[in-house]
Amino acid sequence: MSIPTSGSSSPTAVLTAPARRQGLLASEDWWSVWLGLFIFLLSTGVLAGVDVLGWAAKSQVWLSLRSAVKPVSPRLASLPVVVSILGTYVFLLATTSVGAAFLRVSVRRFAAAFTVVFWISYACWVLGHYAYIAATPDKTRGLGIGWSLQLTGEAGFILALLAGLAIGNFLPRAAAWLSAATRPEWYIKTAIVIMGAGLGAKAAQATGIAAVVVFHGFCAIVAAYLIFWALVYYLARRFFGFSREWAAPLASGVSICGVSAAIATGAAIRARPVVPIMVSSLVVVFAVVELVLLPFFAQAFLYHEPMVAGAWMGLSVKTDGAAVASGAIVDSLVRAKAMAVQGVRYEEGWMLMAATTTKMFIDVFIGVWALVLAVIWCTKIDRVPGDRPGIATVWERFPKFVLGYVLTFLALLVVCVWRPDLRPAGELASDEGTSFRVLFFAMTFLTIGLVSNFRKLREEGIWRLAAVYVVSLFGFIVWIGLAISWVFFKGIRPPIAGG
Amino acid sequence: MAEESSHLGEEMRRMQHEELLPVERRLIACSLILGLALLLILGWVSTALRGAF
Repeated sequence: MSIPTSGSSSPTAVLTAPARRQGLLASEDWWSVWLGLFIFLLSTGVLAGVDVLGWAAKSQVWLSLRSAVKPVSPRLASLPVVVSILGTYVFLLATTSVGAAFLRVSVRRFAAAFTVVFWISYACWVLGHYAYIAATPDKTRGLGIGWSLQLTGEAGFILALLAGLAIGNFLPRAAAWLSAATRPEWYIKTAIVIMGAGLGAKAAQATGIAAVVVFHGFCAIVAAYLIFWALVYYLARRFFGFSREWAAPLASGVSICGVSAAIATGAAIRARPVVPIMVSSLVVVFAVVELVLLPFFAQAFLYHEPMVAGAWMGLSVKTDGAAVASGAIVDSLVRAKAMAVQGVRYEEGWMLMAATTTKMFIDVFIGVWALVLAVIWCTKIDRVPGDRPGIATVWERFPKFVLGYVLTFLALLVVCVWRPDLRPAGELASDEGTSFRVLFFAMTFLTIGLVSNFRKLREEGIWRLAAVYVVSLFGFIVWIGLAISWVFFKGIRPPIAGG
Repeated sequence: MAEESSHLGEEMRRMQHEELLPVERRLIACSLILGLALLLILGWVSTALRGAF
């Protein structure tokens, strides 16, 4: 793991030029940027009419295994699925092995371990898309099934986590053998860099059709973000006795954007890797709980304020997939109830858009908040008496993968806004990147499980973290999120279908 | 890493209380005040501009 223990390095260390060059190739942080940008650049080939990554495997909700995976690009729909899956594996193996070589890991050991990590993660990801596990209420009818656990395809992440936990806790020798490729931070940071492009493409869509939702979504998250973080941090520090190293990633994970925010904050304050990983595990579990509960509350009490319901999902449900899925469920449930009770038939997709937009701005804000925390921790909290930390120190500490994330976000946003005719190609580029992003996420969850000894944690530690999470989430985040959604979205109605 | 995790429970049990530093108090206070102020200002702006969209 690349991030040192808090305070383990001199905060005023100034790197020489050769050391700096070496640093660009010798840390997981930088390699997440290179790998993420490489995949992003290849995916943007479609903007120039060259479909470089169209063969990548994309999973979809399935009833028959034959329809579980397909090539991401419609142009390559005739490509055999086996070629698509094997191509995805070989591509990821080759690119990560190059990174592993620079990180001075035995490439042979890495490649062998990565192969196992990849295939277990991939199997979990595909299994998580099984219709009876994944299909949301808006899709069950189309699939012709009467029930589903409604966990969305992100159930694959939970399965990967469970598989990792099983191996890590019951097969310690196997877990040790996999250690060369057990790099959850590298995987998640690479995924976040790729994710920036997807958000850029979504943001470009939103600017044209719903400036009002975008504006209110932005307003809502600025206020919510600052209030949530401060309250959770104070609660964790003052009442639950957590150290700063634990409280900051916990506050970001609970209040902001779950996994990505916990990792970014952990990197910014130089927490040990295990800290954001533990927080991430909680985030995933509780996101599923929220996904199952909140849409039905929204249907019961907010059917007369549909956009409030959508924004509430974006503000309250952590993890991108769960938030968007809850937006889709709310969209379906609230429209059905509004039709039944009020006789109003709202256009489909607007509540989902409110949820997606607020979540998108929350994601964008991660980079800003990581920078703020890096500066405060570097210049005030971890400062060695007598030292005068400067910009070099802040730069040294700043999580570099955030740069990759901002770069891919802005690049695709600018292209799609500047050239609206390229938006479809931009969305395809985003889809192609996403095909790899979700696999990096799945490998992150598997390897989080591999390194988490939950037996020991269950004995003494995890409940305390979970207590902060439960008190914060259901004590005030969900309700403040509702209040803020109400302030900014009350009275805004989706268009009437056919109106 | 696995070793690190296995010691985590013990670490949490023995975690020593760290006093809130003045800078942490300022961070919490500034974040809350700024958040509430923005909530009021942006809430007012969004209401005022709603008719313009």
